[in-house]
Amino acid sequence: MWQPQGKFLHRAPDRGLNLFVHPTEKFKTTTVKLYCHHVLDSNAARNALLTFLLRQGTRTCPDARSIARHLESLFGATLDLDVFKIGERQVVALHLQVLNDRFAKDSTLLRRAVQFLGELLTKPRLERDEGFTRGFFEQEKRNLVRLLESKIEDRHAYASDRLIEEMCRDEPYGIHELGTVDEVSAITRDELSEHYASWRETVPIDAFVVGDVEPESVADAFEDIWPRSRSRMTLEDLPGPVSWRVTESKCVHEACEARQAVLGMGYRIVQDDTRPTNLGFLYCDAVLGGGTFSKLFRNVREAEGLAYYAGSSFERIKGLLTIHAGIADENYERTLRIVKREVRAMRHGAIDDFELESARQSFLHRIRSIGDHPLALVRATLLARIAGTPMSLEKALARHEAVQKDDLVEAARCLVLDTVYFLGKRRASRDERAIARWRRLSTKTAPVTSETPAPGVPSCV
Amino acid sequence: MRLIETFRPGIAEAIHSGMHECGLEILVNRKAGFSRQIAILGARFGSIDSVVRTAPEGTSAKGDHENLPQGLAHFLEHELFAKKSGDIGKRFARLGASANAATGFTSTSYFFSCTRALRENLELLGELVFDPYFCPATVRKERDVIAQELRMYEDCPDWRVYTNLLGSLFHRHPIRFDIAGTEASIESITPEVLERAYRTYYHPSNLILILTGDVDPDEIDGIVDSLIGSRTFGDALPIDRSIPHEPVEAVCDHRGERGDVAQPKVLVGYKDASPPNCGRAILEREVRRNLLVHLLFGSSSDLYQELYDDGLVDDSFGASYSIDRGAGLTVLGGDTDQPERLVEKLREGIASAQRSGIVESDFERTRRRLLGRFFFGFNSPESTASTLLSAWSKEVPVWEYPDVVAATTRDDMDHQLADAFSEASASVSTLLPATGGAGAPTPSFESGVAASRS
Repeated sequence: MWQPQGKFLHRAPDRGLNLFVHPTEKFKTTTVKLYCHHVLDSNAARNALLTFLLRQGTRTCPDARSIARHLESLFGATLDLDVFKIGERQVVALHLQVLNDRFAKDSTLLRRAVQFLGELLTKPRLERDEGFTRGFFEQEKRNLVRLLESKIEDRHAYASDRLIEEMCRDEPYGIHELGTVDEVSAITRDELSEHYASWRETVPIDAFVVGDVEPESVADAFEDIWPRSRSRMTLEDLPGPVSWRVTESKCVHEACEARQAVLGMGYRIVQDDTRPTNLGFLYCDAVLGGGTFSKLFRNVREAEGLAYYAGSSFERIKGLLTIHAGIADENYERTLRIVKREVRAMRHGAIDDFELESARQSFLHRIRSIGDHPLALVRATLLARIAGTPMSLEKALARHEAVQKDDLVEAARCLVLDTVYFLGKRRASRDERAIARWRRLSTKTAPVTSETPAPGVPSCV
Repeated sequence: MRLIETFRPGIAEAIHSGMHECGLEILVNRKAGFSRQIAILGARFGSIDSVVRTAPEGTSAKGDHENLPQGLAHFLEHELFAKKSGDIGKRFARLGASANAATGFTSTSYFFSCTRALRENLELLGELVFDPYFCPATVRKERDVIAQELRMYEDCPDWRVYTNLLGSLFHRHPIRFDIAGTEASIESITPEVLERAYRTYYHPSNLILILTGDVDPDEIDGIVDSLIGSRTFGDALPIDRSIPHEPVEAVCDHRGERGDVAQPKVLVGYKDASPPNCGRAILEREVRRNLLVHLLFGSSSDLYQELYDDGLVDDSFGASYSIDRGAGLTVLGGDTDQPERLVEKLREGIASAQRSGIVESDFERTRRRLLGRFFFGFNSPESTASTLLSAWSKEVPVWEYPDVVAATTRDDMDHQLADAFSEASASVSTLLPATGGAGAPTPSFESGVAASRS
């Protein structure tokens, strides 16, 4: 019944739920993480609002206060609900951390915690017509709208959201995981209640449990929490996590009064006949802006003193490399120039031994110690599942050991600047000519899918 | 050197502790099954340590004092990474370790995490902390980087409303200053000032080495050799930990500002009249106030549910208590459309609790929560190391925590209720949208106006 999958034991799906258990005595707490998978589409706002509503009350805990009290009585168990996107999937995550039965001297703690999660998902407090409680519905809708309106307060997160929105305007990936103010405002109670009724029956779920637990008792605890009738659809039945489209290259400047400006740059992977590995891009990202050893940290922050932070990140499912820097307004052109210079240098092979080895050692460190972080381990497994490329940690280590400079150069040659986004006081200078030149580099395009094998340790993204 | 092992049965952890001949304190927590090793070298030197003595070296006579510029501890932390051969962070990276540092109110810490080459990483950690290289060029460059960091924080509305609150509560306690100082204060930082602060606060007798994870305490001699090498240290200079006398009253009862926010932000702060300085007393204060604040304003409280139902608060609402040397502080608040009404409701809630007291079942449940959460702090090598560092820097006997929780009674809560919320020691900090009324969209913000396409 249980099959090993990486560090986890995996149980064949039951009513749309894949269960992964990693028994280990290392931790004082047990981590329970549930991921509900959706295609990222026009339902994004509904799924997000649903998430907010579910934590407002269940049949036995009729309001948020009683949910909080219930968690307190479970020795201060913590519950977090989160909505995010991975590739073109929207994921609703429930994270429960509960003290291990052994320390609580209570052998029912985990079971009660799992039951509570089940209740939260499948037995929300509803009114007689099976619709959501009117008061909760209006209140959570208002709160979600407010949350979306206040995104600007965290300028750096706001800037990275806006960069992706501009860059992927006509692709599902451009959809914000919480939807938009207009979308949320338009949702009606009936519509959401109906959406929930089918969601409960069909949404594919991955459940991960890490801690000092018996897999069988975990399976038992999960056994009773789902309706018998539930659909058998699992993650594997959803359409592929990536679509692909080349959009117009652009430069977007958004005015805002702030002490510090934010520069974002988005690169796409445009491939010709060469097929660089996904690992090549991961290393490009690391060498470019992945830490204190990276080109951006050393050249933008350290050598030029231009920014407090300057780094890059790589969305490996979608295949987007983005760069972010917090800079003074007047340093816009200079920073842009330096970033471009560094990417160009990588294309021409300017990657020294120090950079490559630092990136490699940093990945190896994370892979070797992944079992030390329950959440990193869970997330890595989740990402590998979405990418459809599970791989053992041993193989991943071997693949990282084998990465060479040429892999990075080849990958760098496929990076094309798509969008420059600037949030600051002054207008951006005209970069169109430069961008047009970059665009001409693009010949053929292809998505990064399972054809380009993933490294197997997606936490390194 | 010899380490003494103490087993803490409650959390099933063994702690080895000892002191090296140079005065360096050592704590080791070996965690079975973990692959990582965490090392922290911590200094009892934070932003509130703002004085060095200028008496001639070798004399114990009380000399004159020199006030350090605000933000010096933080600046020094940045500056230690700069070596003659460049940024030392690079060399950790080469070993696959991620090294970083942090400055708080009462401590500065330098740490790395690794899965290989513990000894080599410790050598680097030793070089990082024990071999300063203060020179005008690196100081100049770091000033620019920190100025950017300061600006980044100034753009963060939550940070601003919090800093304004500290400024309107405290007259003299240095907690009212930003840990990183101001752009003006860091202007006066020179290699000489750094050197003086370094000599006072970075003597090994003011430092601790904390190791957690896959570390063998039997190898401590080799470990300490790697860290210290052949370095020798002179006598420690006296450290002045005195904190200026802080009046009971707040500086002002309200400080308001406008800025780029979608919704008003409001925080209410209550300053402790006589906060304990160290030891079990801090722990007791911390436990009792945390229980009280959670009972009154936590997500399981009647008041919170009422405020939430009335739309006066959302998830951004928080209530917390913190205590550092000589400064205890309760902070309540978050985003709200009606800041005045929220403040009024919070005051009513406090008055009502003062009249009716705490319900026994709520008290028991909240105590259970706090006991459970204590374990969370020892879940990983990182969290263990940071729990130990925080306890050390505040001179708090962390192992007594469960006892203190267990010994707390409902009567204690009544005493806390009477003490914690004096209006004379309270202040309100608000940050309102730049123009327009409460809840208006951010008008100063033009979205996408200058988009240009090629």
